[in-house]
Amino acid sequence: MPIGDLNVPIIGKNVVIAVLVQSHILFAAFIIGAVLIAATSEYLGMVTKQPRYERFARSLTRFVVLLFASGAALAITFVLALVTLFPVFFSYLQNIFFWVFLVEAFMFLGQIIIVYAWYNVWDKLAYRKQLHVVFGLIAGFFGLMAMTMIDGVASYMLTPAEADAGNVARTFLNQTMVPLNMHRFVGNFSYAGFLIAGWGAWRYLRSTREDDREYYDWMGHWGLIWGFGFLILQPVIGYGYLKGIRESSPGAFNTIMLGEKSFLFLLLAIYLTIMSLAATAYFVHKLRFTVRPMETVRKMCVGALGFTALFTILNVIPADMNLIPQIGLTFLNGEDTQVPLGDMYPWKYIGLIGMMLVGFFVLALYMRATATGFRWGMASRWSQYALLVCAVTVFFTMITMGYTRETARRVDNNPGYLIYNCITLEQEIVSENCPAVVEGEGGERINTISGERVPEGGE
Amino acid sequence: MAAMLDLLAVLLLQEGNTANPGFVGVARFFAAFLLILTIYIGALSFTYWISKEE
Repeated sequence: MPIGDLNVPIIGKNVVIAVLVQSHILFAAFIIGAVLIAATSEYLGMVTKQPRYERFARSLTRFVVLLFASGAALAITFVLALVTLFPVFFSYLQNIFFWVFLVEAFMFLGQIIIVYAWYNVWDKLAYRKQLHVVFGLIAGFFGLMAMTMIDGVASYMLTPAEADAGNVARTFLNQTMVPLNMHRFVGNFSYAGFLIAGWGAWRYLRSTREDDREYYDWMGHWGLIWGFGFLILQPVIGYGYLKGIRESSPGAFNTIMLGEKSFLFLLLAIYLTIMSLAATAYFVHKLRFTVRPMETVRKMCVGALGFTALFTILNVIPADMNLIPQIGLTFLNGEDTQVPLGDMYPWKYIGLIGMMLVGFFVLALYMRATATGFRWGMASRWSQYALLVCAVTVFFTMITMGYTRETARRVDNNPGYLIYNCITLEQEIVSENCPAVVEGEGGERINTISGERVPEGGE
Repeated sequence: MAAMLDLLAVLLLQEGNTANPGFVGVARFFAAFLLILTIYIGALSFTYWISKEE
């Protein structure tokens, strides 16, 4: 039997990898974001002496410690599945990224040790709080470093550097490594923040005790500050990421932005619209409960809500009436009917930049109100539903964006790549274009992994 | 129904053993989605369940 020819009955081997990785990343991203949010909250509790920060940090850390097992189990199962189902591809990847995978493993180990120690010495270091906060920050740092290592690998798969396999600096620091890492760094906070806000809302709606209602009302607000605050940074970072993809892997860029999968951008725009409007509406509602009345600020936020609607809806206008031709969503002569305000340039740029600017404005107003204080436990049910909507939407955003990055390499399936222009989905090495195959001194082509000459037309 | 499935399959652009542009491909897509949801909600609920008594 040829190596790498195993398959999984019924669902197929690609679905196995997709399910394991998507599930893993939903936990991993949450854990990285939550650890840093918890450590920051603990620090704020120490500085402000407000007990809710301490309660929140400790509960979140306990949840992370317990959730770690699920995330780690999925990671190991995923690697096992990859080795079993895609051995040629994984062997190739392992050869290029040996050092990166090694560092990743130790960062992962460091994160486990420090997170557990952090939670375990909570009482013991109660009078050495600064040292204890440092534990949390180090745990967050290890998590970020583990993510950075795997981002080197993931970005290489989409935009491989044209360097030989032994050139760690160039393969690791490929074109989209830095923007991907920034995108995920910011995304972790936003994703974890929205989930925390959603959880706070859920508990608020179910709480009957006054102190619990106050605490969970505050938790929803605190989560949303992280979620929305980092969300509005994403468009500009995402732009940088897409620019890198367009320059290095134009086929992949065309697939997700202009080709068969371009509806994914409109899906993302819809998610951004929902989250921005829900978050801004929550802020407007919350400003009714400031300790000191701030009617002017509230009115400005109402105006900002209108602008948010204007800019975000600008992003979801399709370029033409050929919406999703694959399922027949084509109206009024399809591509021939251009929709006003539907082009990427300038309208969607205006929409995205406007959304960011209004987002910063409304968040600044809300933070100003936060500094004066809120009366907690009085929020309406609808404001909590807005937080729940954000939490559900951020889940769909995560899996849609994960799907987008991976499906970009399919390049209309002709062929689909595991490593762009290098290894196909069938694990065949496309030697002519493979970055790890370089020109020798005599003009011959050499596979830098095996050291052998590559014959004309393939390996 | 069959025509709709064909259209959905084209939308999902699946082909070969990983992605059959037919009923199998569509079924696999939704199976994946269901599995992700199950694992995600299952693990989160379990984690909440084991931690809530503390």
